[in-house]
Amino acid sequence: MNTKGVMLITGTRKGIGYELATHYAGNGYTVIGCSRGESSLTMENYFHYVLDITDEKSVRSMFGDIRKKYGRLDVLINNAAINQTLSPAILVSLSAAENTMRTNFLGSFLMAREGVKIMMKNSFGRIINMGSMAVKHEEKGEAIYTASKAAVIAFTKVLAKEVYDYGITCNVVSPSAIQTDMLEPIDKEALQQVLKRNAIPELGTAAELIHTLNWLIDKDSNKITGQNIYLGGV
Amino acid sequence: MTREEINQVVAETFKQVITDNEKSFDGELTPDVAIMGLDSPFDSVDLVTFIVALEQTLEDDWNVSVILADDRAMSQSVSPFKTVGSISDYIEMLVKENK
Repeated sequence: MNTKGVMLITGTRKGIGYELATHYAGNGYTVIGCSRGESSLTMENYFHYVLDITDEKSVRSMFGDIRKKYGRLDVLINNAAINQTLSPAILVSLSAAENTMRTNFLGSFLMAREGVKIMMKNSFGRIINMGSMAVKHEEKGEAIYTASKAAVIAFTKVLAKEVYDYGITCNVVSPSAIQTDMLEPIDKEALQQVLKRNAIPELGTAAELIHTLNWLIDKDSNKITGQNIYLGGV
Repeated sequence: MTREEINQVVAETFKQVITDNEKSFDGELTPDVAIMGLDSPFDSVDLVTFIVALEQTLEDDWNVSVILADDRAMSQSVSPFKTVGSISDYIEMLVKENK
C-alpha cells in the first residue's frame, strides 16, 4: 500500500475535522473519516463512514472494516465534539449534559478502545484526543463542556500508561479557539475576553494545530505520551 | 461453532501469543492452565493481546462478533479470564447467544 499510513479522524464533515482530513488525505495518508452526516469531501485517499461515534455496534463495524481492508491503523484523531450546554450549569438539562459527555468523552473512549486493538498488532499507534482551553480557563457557562474535556484529558493520561508497551502513544492537543461553527453561539466580546487570558490573544489556526499533530505523529515522538499540549499560549 | 472448534481457536491463539511475545510454556494445554495471575505464563500485556486476538479470530474466521470483556464478564463472581477452560466456557455462551 503506497501510503504514509492509515489515519482515522472523527467529526470530519465540517470544521477542524474537515480541515485535518483534507490536509492529511492530500499529504499521503489514507484517511478514514466519520460523522453523523454525509461528507462533502471527495479525495482519492479519503473514505467516509456515516455513524454516531457513541454507537458501539456501528463503531465496531467500522473498525472491523479498517482491520480487514488495511490491517493497520497508525493514527487516530478524536476530534468530534459537541457543545450543547452553553449556559450556567443550573440551567443545563440532564439530556443535554448526557449528550455532551457521551459524544465528547465516551465517543473518544470507544474509538480509542477499538483503535488500540488494531494498533497493538503492529506495535505502533498514535492516539490524539482534542482537548480545549476551556479546561484551563474554567469559564462560567461552560461547566459540562469543560468537564467533558477534562475527562478526555484524564482518560488519555491513564490510557497512555496502559498502552505504551504496545508502541502506542496517547496525547491531548488543546488548541485555542479556532474559527468553526462551534464558536458561532459564543458571544464575540466574551470570546475576546477569554482570548486575552492567553499569551497569544487571538484565534488559533488549523495550521498550528497540524504542525503540532505532525510532531506527535512522527515515529521519533515515541516517548512523548500522556501529555496535554496547549496551543495559543493558553 | 462447536465447543471443539472453540477449544481449538483458544488453543491456537494461546500458542500464538506465547510465540509472538516470546514467553515459555512447556506444559500440556489443559482447561486448568491459568491465563491470569501468578500461575499464568501471561503478564497483563499478554492477556490483553490474547483477548483481542480471540475477538478478531472469532470475527474474521467464524463471523462471530463479540466483546469478551463485556459488562457481564466483569460482573461474574468467577472471572471468565481465569483459565483456558473458563474463557472457552464464556465464548461458548456468547456464541450460543449470538446465533
